[in-house]
Amino acid sequence: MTTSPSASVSSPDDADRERALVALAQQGDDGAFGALYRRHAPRVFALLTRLAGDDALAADLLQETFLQAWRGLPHWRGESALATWLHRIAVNAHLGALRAQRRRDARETAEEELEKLAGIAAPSGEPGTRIDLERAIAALPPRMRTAFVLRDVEGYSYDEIALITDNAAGTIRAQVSRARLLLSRELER
Amino acid sequence: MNTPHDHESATDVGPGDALRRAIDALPAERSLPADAFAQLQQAMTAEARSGAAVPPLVRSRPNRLTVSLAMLSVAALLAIVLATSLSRSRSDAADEAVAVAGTRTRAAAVTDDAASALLPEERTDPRVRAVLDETRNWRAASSDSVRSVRWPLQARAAIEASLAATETALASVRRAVREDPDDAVARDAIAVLRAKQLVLLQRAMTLLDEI
Repeated sequence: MTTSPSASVSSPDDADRERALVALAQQGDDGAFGALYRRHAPRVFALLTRLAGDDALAADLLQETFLQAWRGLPHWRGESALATWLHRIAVNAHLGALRAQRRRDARETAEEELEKLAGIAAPSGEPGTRIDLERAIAALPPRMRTAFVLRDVEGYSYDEIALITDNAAGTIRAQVSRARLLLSRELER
Repeated sequence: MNTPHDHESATDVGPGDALRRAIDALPAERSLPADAFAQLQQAMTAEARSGAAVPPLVRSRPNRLTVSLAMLSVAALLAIVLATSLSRSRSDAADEAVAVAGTRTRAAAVTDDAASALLPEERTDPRVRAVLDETRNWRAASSDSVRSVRWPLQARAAIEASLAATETALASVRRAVREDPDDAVARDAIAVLRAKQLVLLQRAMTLLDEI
């Protein structure tokens, strides 16, 4: 599902309409901002749910993302697609929460999380049945999940992920590789 | 940003066919929580009212999680101080009161009724007056639906529980002082509890003003 965030705008007419909504929202039109929210929030929420691995946390981050967008919109110059801008705000909001969690939750160990992953069975119970990939992704350790989602779901490069997560590219590669291995094993169960 | 076919692809074997297919089948969108937009609108309204004179993006506003954690850590700090102070007071009654208060999930209101139970010397103590004033400010602010719209319920409950625990502990220590006016340890405990209560309230007000 590696998709461009700008996929929310599907045609030139749609792009014109979005530009008009953005212009209105930049003037303080809350109705226009609401329309932009309805257009983009479901995609942003899917991203945040996948990154956070938790619906309630994702809902908080969604609100944070659109609050930041609302604050920043008057100054936004439209140099990228709105969806790309929102995508970046959302990823940054998630990474901020992840850093905060890392500071307060030093006890997290990959082993504990992997045990959770090992406990995920195919919903139907039949061998070889497709697993609930969303649940399996959610069970990955947070940093591994972030690296995997950004790389294999969202299509970021390793260098980009390393830069925004403040990690070495080699570390990101190792995390993504490990996540692929674990998820592939789950697919084969 | 989204460049799945960048130069790294040459060395990156990718997720494998089965996993790739599963990833491709993931939905691009998710249904939003029912009240998500309403909550966002409330937050926007609150921010517009409270920060009209402050340029957007300049203010540093902690998010709900940060505020919640800060509140809970302050409450936890107070709880530790309470336990320490009371153990020094050697008052069985106080220990019992803290134990009872610690089990409460929702605090009893701290009102000016507390003033009626003050020791004579407390009535003229400016620090006690400051605590009572700050308690009134906190109550007014935290019950203001616009101002506290993003205030996490868990954090508010933690603050209220700490305030109630402090008041309960103070009442017990005061009893000890009334029974033995020379109990210096109990008197010290009152001073410490009041100081910590003031710090808690001031931090709560600061955080409430920042969100």
